[in-house]
Amino acid sequence: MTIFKFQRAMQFSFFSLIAALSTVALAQVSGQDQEPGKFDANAVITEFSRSWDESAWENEFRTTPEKYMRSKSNDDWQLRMRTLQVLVQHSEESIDPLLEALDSDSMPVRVLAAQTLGFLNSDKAFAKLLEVAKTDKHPTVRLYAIDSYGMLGGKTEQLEMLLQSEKNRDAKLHVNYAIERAGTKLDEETRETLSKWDSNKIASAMVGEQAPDFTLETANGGKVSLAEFKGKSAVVLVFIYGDT
Amino acid sequence: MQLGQLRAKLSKLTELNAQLVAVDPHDGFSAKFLLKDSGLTTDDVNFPLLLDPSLTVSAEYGVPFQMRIHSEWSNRPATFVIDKDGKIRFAHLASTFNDRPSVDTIEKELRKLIQ
Repeated sequence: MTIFKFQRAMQFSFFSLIAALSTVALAQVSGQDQEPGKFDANAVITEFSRSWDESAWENEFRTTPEKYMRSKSNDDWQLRMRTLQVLVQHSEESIDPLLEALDSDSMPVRVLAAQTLGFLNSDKAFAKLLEVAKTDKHPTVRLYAIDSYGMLGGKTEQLEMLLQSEKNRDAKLHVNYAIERAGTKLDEETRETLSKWDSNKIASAMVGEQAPDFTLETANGGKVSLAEFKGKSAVVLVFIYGDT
Repeated sequence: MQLGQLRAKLSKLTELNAQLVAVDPHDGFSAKFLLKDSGLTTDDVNFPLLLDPSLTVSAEYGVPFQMRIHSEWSNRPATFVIDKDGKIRFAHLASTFNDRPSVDTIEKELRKLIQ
C-alpha cells in the first residue's frame, strides 16, 4: 500500500521534527536563562502554533472535494498528538502556560490549550475553562473547553445554564455530552495511558505487518483486546469519528 | 449514524466468522448520549464499541486529528482487516468524511483469508 510507505517516510520527518522540538527549538525560544533539559511548555506551544497551519487547511477544506479532511500526505496530526502527550507528561510545568494560552490570539493554540487542560487533573483550570466555554468567540474553542470542563468533573448546574446560552449546534451537543458525565472525571488510567504511551509506535499499522495490539475499555464497561479474537477468521477494525 | 452503517454490515461479517470491532476516540459519555437520543442504549450495539480517549490506539493506526467534523478535530474514518495471526491484510483510510469500503469489498477481503 503506497499510503503506508508514505506514512513511513512521513514518520521519519516527524521524528526529525520532534528532535528539533526537544533541543534546538526549545533552546532558541526559551532564551539564555533556560536550564538545560528543563521542560518549556511555552516553547512547545509556540512550535505547535508555527507548524499547525490552520489557515491553509481552512482554505483547502472549503475548496476541495475532500471535505472536512486533511490530505493523507499531511502529517501535522503527528505533531499535534506528540504535543498533547508532551504537555500531559509535564503537567506541572504546563498548567500555567496552558491557562495563558487560553487567551492567545491564535484559535488553534486556544483549542490545543482547552483540549490539553482536560487531561491535566488540575483544579486551577476548572473556573477558567468554564469562562472560556461561555465566552470564547470561536465555537471550536468553546467545544473543547466544554469537553475539558466535563473531564475535570464539571458541575451539572453550570452545564445546564450553558445549554441555554450556547447557540452553536456542535458546542451545544458537547454540552449534552458533558452533562451525561454527571460530574464523572476523566479516569486516571486514560491520563496514564497517554502519558506513558510509546510514541515510536505512531502510525505503525501497515499492511503486511503485525497489527498493533491494544486493550481498550468498551462502552458497556469491561475491556477488550485484539488478541482475544484469535478464534475468529478475521477482525474488521473500524475507526469512527465518534458521531456513533 | 456510523454505528448504524456498521450494524448493516454485521450479518455478512458474522456469516464469515469475522469479528467487527469499532473504535470511538472519546470516553463513552458521548456515545451514551447519542444512543439515548436515538432511543437506544450501549446494549443495543451488538459488537464491541471500544473507547480510545487517550487517542493512543488511534495514533498507532494513523488516524487522529485529520478530520474536522461537527467543529471537532476527530479521527479519519478507517477500516483495517486483520487476519487470525494478527497481521494486517487490508487497510482503507477515508478520503472524504463518508468514504467507506463497501460490504462487498470487505467480503472479498475476508474470503481471501478463508481460502
